[in-house]
Amino acid sequence: MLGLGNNLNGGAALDAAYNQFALSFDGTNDHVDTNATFQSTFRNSFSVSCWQNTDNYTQTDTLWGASADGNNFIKLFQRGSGRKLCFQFKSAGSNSRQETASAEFDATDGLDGAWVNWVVTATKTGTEAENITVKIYKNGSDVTAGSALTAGCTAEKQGGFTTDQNIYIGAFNAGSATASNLLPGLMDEWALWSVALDADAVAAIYNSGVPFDLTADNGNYDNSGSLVAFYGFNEGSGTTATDATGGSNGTLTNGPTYSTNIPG
Amino acid sequence: MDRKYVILESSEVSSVDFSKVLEDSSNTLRYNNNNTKTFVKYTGDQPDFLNGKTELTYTEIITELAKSEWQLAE
Repeated sequence: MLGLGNNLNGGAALDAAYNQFALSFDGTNDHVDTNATFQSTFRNSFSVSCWQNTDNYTQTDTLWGASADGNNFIKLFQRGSGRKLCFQFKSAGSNSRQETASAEFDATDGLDGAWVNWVVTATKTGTEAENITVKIYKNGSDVTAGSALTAGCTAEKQGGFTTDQNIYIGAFNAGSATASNLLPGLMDEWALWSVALDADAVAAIYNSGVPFDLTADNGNYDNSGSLVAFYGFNEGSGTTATDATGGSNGTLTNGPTYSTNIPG
Repeated sequence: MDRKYVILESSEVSSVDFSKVLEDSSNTLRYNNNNTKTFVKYTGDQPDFLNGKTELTYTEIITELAKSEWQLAE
């Protein structure tokens, strides 16, 4: 039986009190340094989920990413006058860019103050010569454009991804730990898996707009064992973003604040 | 409490008292693309070491940072 305020996902009752805070970025220079490159994870199939809320739109603002050099970088960002969300992964000089099929941001109001769950999956295909497959999901639905902007990253090149730069959340680590293209607004629940999540798992993660603890399987979400990093941003104070997997704790840098404006 | 922002010349970074601003250290400052300018932010009264500097509101600093000299192209 469900209690008031609880949610149901594939038969498992969830704790509505799980999510307490999100992070608020002013978009000037504040961000989260994950203190990890996740190089080995990005060399194979992977997925990243995060929740975003903003009432602003600026081209190239980056939700997360890092660059070692011009031939090795990864980022999820708001792209161009088309106001789409774009994922770009360049590995060993081989480039893959995939964006959403439609504009996702209003020119002035961004997401208009609504919470959105974004999931990017990258599937390393069977042979070394085949290109990786990238999908972008919004609120549990596949919103990937029919053809990639650039589809040249092969499985072989992905395996050569080389970086010494930490992934930043709320900004693009442009190299030498330089935060650029910073994102104003709210971010929550950043998670990385070492598998390409299937559509059912992505829909389960969206969970009708209510995040849950991704360290445990829940309904069609059966990938907790592949979780590499998970920052729930529920500390409420301090400058440490705890990685619930026990991996690499992040550092709140230059003053992000905690907000009780959360998804759900 | 509202944040306030002051743009500095890069040569002035050595005078920044990081206990009085929200930036963590000189290593986490954000610079413009040719590394001639940076900025700091704070709440409350303007720290003494910034006396005489122009104080910007959040809207004003966002407008400044939207200029191409602070942004990396796609």
